[in-house]
Amino acid sequence: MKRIISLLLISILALSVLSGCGTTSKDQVKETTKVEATATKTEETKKQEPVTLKLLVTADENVTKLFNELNTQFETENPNVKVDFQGVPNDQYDKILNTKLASGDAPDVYLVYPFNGTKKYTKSNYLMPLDGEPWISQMGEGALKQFTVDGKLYVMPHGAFNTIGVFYDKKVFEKLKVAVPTNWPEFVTACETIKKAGVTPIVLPSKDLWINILIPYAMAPTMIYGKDKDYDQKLLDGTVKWTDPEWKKLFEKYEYIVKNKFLNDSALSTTGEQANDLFAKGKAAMYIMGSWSAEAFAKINPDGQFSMFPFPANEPGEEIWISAAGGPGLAISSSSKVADDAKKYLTFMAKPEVQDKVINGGGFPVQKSGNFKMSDVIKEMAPFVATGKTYPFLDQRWPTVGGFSDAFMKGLQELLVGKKADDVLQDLDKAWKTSVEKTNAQESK
Amino acid sequence: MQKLFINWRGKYYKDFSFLLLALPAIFLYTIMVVYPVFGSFIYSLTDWDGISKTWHFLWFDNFIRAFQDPLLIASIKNTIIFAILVTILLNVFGMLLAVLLDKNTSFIRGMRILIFTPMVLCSLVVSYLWSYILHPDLGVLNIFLRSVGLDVFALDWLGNVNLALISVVMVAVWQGVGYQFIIYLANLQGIPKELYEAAEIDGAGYWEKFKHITFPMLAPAFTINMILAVIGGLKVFDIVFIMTGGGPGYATEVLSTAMYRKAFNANDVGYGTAISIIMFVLILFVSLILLKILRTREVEA
Repeated sequence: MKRIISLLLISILALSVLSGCGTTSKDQVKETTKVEATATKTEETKKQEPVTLKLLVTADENVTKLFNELNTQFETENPNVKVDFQGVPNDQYDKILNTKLASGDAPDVYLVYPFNGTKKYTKSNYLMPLDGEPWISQMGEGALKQFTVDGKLYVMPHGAFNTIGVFYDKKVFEKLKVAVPTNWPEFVTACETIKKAGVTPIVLPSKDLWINILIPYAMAPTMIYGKDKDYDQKLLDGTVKWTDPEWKKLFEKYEYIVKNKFLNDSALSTTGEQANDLFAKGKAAMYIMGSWSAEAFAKINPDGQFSMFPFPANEPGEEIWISAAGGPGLAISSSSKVADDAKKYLTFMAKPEVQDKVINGGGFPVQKSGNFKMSDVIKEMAPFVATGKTYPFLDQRWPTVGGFSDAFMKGLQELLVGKKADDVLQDLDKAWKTSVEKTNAQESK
Repeated sequence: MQKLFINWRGKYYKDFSFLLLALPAIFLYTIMVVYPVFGSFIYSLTDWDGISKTWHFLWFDNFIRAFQDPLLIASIKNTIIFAILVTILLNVFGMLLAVLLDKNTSFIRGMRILIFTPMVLCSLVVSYLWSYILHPDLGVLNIFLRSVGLDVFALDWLGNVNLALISVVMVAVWQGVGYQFIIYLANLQGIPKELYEAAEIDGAGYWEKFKHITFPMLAPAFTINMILAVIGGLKVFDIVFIMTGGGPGYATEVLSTAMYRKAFNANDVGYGTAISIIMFVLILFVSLILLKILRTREVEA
């Protein structure tokens, strides 16, 4: 008898431990407290079930502040919905999202990148198709195309078309009597004049690996993709190689910048934040960056006069193309239990006045109409956007599996420490083949 | 089988109800440790990309690919260099400091606290702190070197291909030495004073006392410190990841950063877990061999 009782007690103990591990009990507690809280608050909200909308985006301090403001506005308009906002750093975003998706803890609304970034998730049916939503008619065709896979729209375009170009300090340029260069020889002369005056011509924060990629991004549309829009497809098919003259010429120009010490000496130890500081305080004359950074410079040095010109990688007489692409848009998880509220949230975010706050003048609007501010900083890029002489950010068309982008950035770092352009390109060609093979294997499922 | 369980009176136990007591712990251990370990072994045989709901079995292709991958070979080399340097420096400094500070004055007590402090800090904090200190233009170290006229030594500590790994090793040693030091110190205080007195009567000097008494008597601490340092060195991640991110290029890429790079940056989870299995096997073998050698040495001493 004693033994039976002890057995019973032990199994109860074991079970209590198990139930403690489960998430259900916690949720139940949360739910009941929430219900109580809302019940005591107002009688009206009782009519609708209170729901929580989980939102995952990339965010720094400014973006977090903005989202908190917008979410409060949305919550007052929809009192039954509570937005559970989670903002994570840019370079951690993919990892956190992938883990959440793979473990079945998908956020209801999250950011998804254009082209291959969208395809990656539609392939496994993680996204809810958004055809027929009220905001579609507001959006520009190019913006919608980025997020359409097999004729279905999966993501709401959000934020601005960003451009990559050369930020320059107008005061430094005026003081040294340097004109904005319009082709490669002029660019080289400008760099040399600036260097002679004791100012760093170009600041590159190579320690933040992803920023390395921006210089080739800024050069490639002019040197390769403006001339041949299908070049990436040819690379994918294997009819052209990384060691062919097109990329070789580009890497030679990059090597020229490195060898002539147009970059800051300590590029490999400099982080993005430090580079923002160096540039905004006039210690460097140029910074090849995306238009989204304009705000950061203005914050560090409100009196500074910064503007952006397209990277002149062209030989005299050739035309310039710029690198421009939409940022990530907002998508709804296919497994969301509050899809209707999530759709309401997207409709709210699509309002021109909301988008104007999001863009804050720092890019070209993705919406067809509506009054959007545009900061003076990016005005020099506007003609290129208007005439369509733009090409998306390169990695949006590159294979997503196997780490080609990673190898590309590492290769650029190796150029900085003195590896030859030819050797780097040979490594890249190998990495490209592996990546294409891996991605194809994934897609054939 | 039943004979395994004997109660305190020496009688065999016939029921195993007491085993139920271990059940909760076994359950937790299984879901937190055993399942992920087997899971990652299975993933290492596939081409899973981290988000797809399906995958193919590649069997040992990932492992074959790993040993043909220059990135991985470079990272194995760096890991081994890192582990060897860290192990030697940690033990040399740990033992030296322990021998020097084996007295009980208030100054020495203060020194002990100072040496142990970095160990208490989170390695993230330490890594960020040293990244700032070692920055070539804005860092305190180079500003100091320049102010005393040693401009030649004001180098790009983390940006120079030949220096970066050494710089990271130095920071790892700075942070870790307190731990080794405390273990040696505890061991030192257990050495009988009579041995030293006898040696002094025989006319032994400071060095001879260290060579013939202190060092052999420190064998147990030496074993545990060597093993801890080697394992810590082989699986280093946080310091390298934050201070250099494996760069410049692949100059400081170690196995764990390569694993992270492949699994998360390259969406190649199958390959990444294959690297983690390689790392696991490497650490297992190195520590088993080391343990065997050191244990034999302990007995001989």
